[in-house]
Amino acid sequence: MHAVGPRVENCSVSYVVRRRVIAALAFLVVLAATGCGSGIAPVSLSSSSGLPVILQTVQTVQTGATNQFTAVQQGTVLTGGAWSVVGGGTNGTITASGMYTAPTTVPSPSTVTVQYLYTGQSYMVYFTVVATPAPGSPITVQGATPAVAVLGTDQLTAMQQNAPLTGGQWSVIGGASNGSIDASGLYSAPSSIPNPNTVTIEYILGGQSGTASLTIVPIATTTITVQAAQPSVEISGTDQMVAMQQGNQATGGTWVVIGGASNGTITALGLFQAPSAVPAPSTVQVGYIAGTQIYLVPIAILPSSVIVQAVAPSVLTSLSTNITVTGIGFTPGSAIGVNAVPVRTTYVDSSHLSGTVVLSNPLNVSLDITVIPPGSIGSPSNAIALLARFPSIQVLPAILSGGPITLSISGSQFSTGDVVSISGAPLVTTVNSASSITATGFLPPWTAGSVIVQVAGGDGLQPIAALSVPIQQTAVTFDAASRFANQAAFGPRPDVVMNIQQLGFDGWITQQFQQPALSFSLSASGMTQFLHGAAAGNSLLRQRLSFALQSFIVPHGQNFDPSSTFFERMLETDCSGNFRQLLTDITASPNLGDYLNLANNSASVNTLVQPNQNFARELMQLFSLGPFLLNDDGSFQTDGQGNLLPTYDQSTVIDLTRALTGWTYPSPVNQADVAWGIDWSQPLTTFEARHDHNAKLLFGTVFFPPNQTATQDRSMALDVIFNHPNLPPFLARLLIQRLVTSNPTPGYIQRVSTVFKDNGSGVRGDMTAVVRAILLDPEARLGDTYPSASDGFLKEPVLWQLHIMSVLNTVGSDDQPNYLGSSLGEALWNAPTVFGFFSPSTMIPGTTVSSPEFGLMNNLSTSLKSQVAWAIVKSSMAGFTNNYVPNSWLFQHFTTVPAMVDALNHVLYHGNMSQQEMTAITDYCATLNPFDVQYQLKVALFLALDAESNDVSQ
Amino acid sequence: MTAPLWQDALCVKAFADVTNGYRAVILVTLGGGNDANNMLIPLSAASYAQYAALRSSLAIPISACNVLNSGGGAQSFGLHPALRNVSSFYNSGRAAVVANVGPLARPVTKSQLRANASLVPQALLSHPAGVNQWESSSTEALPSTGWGGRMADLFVSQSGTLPPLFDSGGQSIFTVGRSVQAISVSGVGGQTSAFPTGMQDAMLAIASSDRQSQNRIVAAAAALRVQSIQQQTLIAQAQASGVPLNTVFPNGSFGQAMRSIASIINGRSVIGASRQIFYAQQGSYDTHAAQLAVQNSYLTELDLGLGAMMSALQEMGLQDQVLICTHSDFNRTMLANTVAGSDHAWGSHQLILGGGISGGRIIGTYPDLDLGGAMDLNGYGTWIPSLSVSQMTGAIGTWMGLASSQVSSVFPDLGNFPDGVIAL
Repeated sequence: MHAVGPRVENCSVSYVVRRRVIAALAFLVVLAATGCGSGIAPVSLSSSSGLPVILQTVQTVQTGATNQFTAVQQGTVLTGGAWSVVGGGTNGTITASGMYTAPTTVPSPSTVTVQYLYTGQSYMVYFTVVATPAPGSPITVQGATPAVAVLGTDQLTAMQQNAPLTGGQWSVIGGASNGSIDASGLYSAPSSIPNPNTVTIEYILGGQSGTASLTIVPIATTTITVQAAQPSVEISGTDQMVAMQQGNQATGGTWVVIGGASNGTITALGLFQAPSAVPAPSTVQVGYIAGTQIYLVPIAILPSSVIVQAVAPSVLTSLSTNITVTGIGFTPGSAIGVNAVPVRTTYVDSSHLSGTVVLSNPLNVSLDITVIPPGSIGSPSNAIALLARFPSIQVLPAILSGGPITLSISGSQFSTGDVVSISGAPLVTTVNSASSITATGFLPPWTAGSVIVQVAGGDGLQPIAALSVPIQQTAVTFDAASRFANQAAFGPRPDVVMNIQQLGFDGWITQQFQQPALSFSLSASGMTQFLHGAAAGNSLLRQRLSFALQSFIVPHGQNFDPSSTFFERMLETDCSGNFRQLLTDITASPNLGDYLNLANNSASVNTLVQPNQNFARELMQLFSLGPFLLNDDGSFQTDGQGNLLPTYDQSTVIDLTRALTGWTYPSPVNQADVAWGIDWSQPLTTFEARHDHNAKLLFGTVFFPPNQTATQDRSMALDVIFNHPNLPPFLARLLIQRLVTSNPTPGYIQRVSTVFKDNGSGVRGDMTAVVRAILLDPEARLGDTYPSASDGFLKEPVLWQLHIMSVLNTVGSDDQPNYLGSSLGEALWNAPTVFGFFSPSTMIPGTTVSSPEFGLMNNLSTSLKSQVAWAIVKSSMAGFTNNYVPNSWLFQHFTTVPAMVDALNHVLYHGNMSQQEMTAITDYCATLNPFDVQYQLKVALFLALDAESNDVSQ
Repeated sequence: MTAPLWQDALCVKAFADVTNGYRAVILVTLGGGNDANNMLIPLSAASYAQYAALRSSLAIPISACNVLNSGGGAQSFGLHPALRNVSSFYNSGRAAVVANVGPLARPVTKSQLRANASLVPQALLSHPAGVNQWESSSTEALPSTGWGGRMADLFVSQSGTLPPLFDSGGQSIFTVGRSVQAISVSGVGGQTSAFPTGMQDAMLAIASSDRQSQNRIVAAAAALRVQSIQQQTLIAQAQASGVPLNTVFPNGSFGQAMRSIASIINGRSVIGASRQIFYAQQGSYDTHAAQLAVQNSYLTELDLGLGAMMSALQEMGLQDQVLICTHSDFNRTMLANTVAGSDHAWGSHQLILGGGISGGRIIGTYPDLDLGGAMDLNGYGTWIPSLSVSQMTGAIGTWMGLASSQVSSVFPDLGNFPDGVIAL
């Protein structure tokens, strides 16, 4: 009956969206008034009701202040109704024309309801009364000290009636020459004394202001003396400086060497490092800057008393060469230094040393030869360059990337039998001619920095030439990417990890959201298609998010594929949309409609027979809000006695039930998707005669007028839930737990809640923004750098199975892998109840560590998992007999136990496998048949897969 | 390697008690909220008429009920048609029904509840909160321990070489103690294959190292594995020992859970336990729609499993030393809904079997079936409990031999009830 929405005045939303949203405002505002600051998300709402509405132009009113309320319907300001303030005079008063005057003190509770009674119906608006700073009471501003030295700082505070103020604006009168002040009130004095030397600081809040005067004074002129431990130092030697002030060591100043690095360098702690050559002039000045003064001390730089004059031979042409160093000042115990590293040295006399230079590669390099005095007495000698000269080679490509590589090497004197290696690992080498070699092999994708490409003759035993070749830098490291693949996909599938490595986290998320949801074919098992998608497809983030969502929006397994696959596809689609759409879709889902008896639920026709409350309760309890009120950081709200506060009461369950009556299954459309008479591909449709058309009241405050259609009531009900302040932290915590960590900090939850409330463009419920916020949060990424930053989460059985399948890039040989989840206690799409497989509030028994997935762990499941993993690795597990282990990326590229352990360390453990685990694996493999390397590799793989430190995505 | 928590020199002494002083409790939680209004049915003409009017489509014909012996003049009751074994135990004095019991922190009246919302258990009518409140014997929605776990904390010295607490699969708060955790005796199945000699040592070495991990989840999971490896042999030995039982347990998960529990009890001398606590879950009673058939099938499974367990206890001569009781999330509304189901309610009826109790009686008071009356919280037939869970479970704690100070610590709300625990 109300086809056109009302027009709105004085509203901040744009006209284009007003028509759709404004009818929702009347009940939305209650949410804003509960202290969540949820705001109003215009483009996310939909309601086509043309009912009267009270315009919400403010969300707070100060004590004693007034606010004009207006009721409109379809653009017309209503008159003739009656305004009242619920709760009477202590909550303020309102005139017949809607002018509200707030009480002079903040009422308790501070949320106030204004009601407009119009044609027998009540319409309401909610806001919060907040304290007004007592009018006229002065703001006083004070510095910690009244006088500030040039370049000094002073913390200012603003007070009103003995209460500190925040949120105001600080400024320095007269601009930068009088200093500057930051938002917290920290004043920084200018570098010179201004004229006049008194500056004024102002604090402005809510139209009132206060000022303080500060006097800028010179830096106290106490004398600082700088002393050096030694008045002179040899080149490359060190000397400790100290600055003294009135008998104490001065602090806070800065050390400098006048004239720059050629005169030496100095640390922040005053340790002077002499230059490697005597400068000119040979005396340098070291300074200590305190305030505007600099205090100097001269240091004489002396030549080393140890001098190297010559090295023989002058060029190295083999990897191990005896050299003789000639010079003066050598003593027994003096060592020849090669690039500052002492080598084994023989003392001949005070002007001769001999020693051996051993090179690890035939690289053309220049070595610095010095003589290092024994102990730490004196400084090393001057350096003489010693060149290593080997046949030079060129390598193409000039920059290498991880993965399969083909090197073209040009040089000279190559001969058959030469072997090319990279960092010690031999490549398949083809000598094309004396000047050309082609070598192919595999560069592990976690290789970073540079590698040494070496050509060795004599079947690889005699290095001939080498070149250092840089590695192409990737957007993120392999290790960080493999860790991310556990959070955002189904584990470190090698191709996925390398894709993330190239695209970076954000780029990969963007790519994934461009991928479609899985399309399920009726000709194969739905579950097989899901597993196949995870193990070989590229809609990974969608599948992963769908799996996360269905941990608390739990579908009903029906033993008929379409009943599950359409639900799966809906979640995979909606995970990149708006949560408001998801709410509509789950409420229209035939799967949930059947599971929780929403379909065919009927209005009461007899007071002794009431509609079924199942869906309404779980919609709030499980799918969106949770039973207790939350703060934005996910912590529970409590009353004065510490009691939890319920999110909804039974009357809200009953009225939401009534609002959601009148839905049924449509006539089948796709016969192939029909089972038990239900077409599982089709959303529920209305059955208006069974809808309860009476008025409803949700959360004690949101009024649903009578005679709305089933669709109107559903839309209003879902708007209320969508805008409830519990939804952001409730959803944030659950999704963080599924993707990143079981124990997020309150700050992490709050940051994600904030993005749910507003994606940065004013949109509430933008799921792609929420997913980005979760996966890219510093807390999620900290573990990339600091392995023990968080506990992560225990992989639940489905993720555990898909992790193995991903690591081994197998899709299974048939449908048998579908049945593994069930024996491990988690059968995809087939949770035992609507509460899913585990409770989100599960703690590890006897601890305060949250670990929902731990609820599926017990003494039996832990050993069963090991047995399953071993059977899979051995290819003796049903469904895993397709010989995929030898064909896997790991087994193709890592063919020795050390290489495999290294690979497992990076792929499974992102570089953090414990030394004990590596040792246990290596030691056990060493006891096995040395001629069956394949078996040893399988054992290594199994032990690494099986460990608890791999079961947990850390 | 550190000794498991429960290992104690006293277990040697406890061995002597295994036969004479053995006591065990088996808790069966009826998952999803069993409609107790159709488990215990009033049969006197006036009450039955009231019952039938309120239940409409859910009413069970009076002729189908299993009639319970009424002790001379008391109101007569029947049990659900499926509960044939339980009715027979009742009528032979080996079972009792506790009437209208539910989570309560203190005795309350409807007007007090109306005036003070904090007297209502947290998140009343919620499944997880309801189960948690029953299994923790509290009114908290998110308790950290259960009453089984808290009793087990006190029985560690009497449980021999394994913890005193066993579950037969399924998560619960019941088995979480402050220091003792349950071990599972059945549950997940699946293919298994033996590990090569030597590899188990490598696995244990890695788990022992992971047990020291800074990562608390890794450390806990690895500790569980190390413990599991140590316990497996012992559990298998216990389950294989004792005189083989002739009782045939039903197929299906509940019957097999009862079988597993019976085999542990039968092997108690291998473990050296004189106190044991067992936990099982049964059914999926959340009958929001099409209730009659669903509840009938689950109560049938329950009845057959309990019958087998009672028979096995008889075989072992432990019929008076092992007590079985039921819990459930909540009762369901007396009123039926429009799709022939019922919704979440509060005060419920529960079964107690075995244990040498004084059976054949209704313990407590059957609610007055007055819709909107003094016993009905919200006009749907949501009975305000007249007995608290702690009065029922505290009685079982006493039966298990807890000293009165221990009963007070395990069941802290009991002190609020002047009547104390129910008499078994």
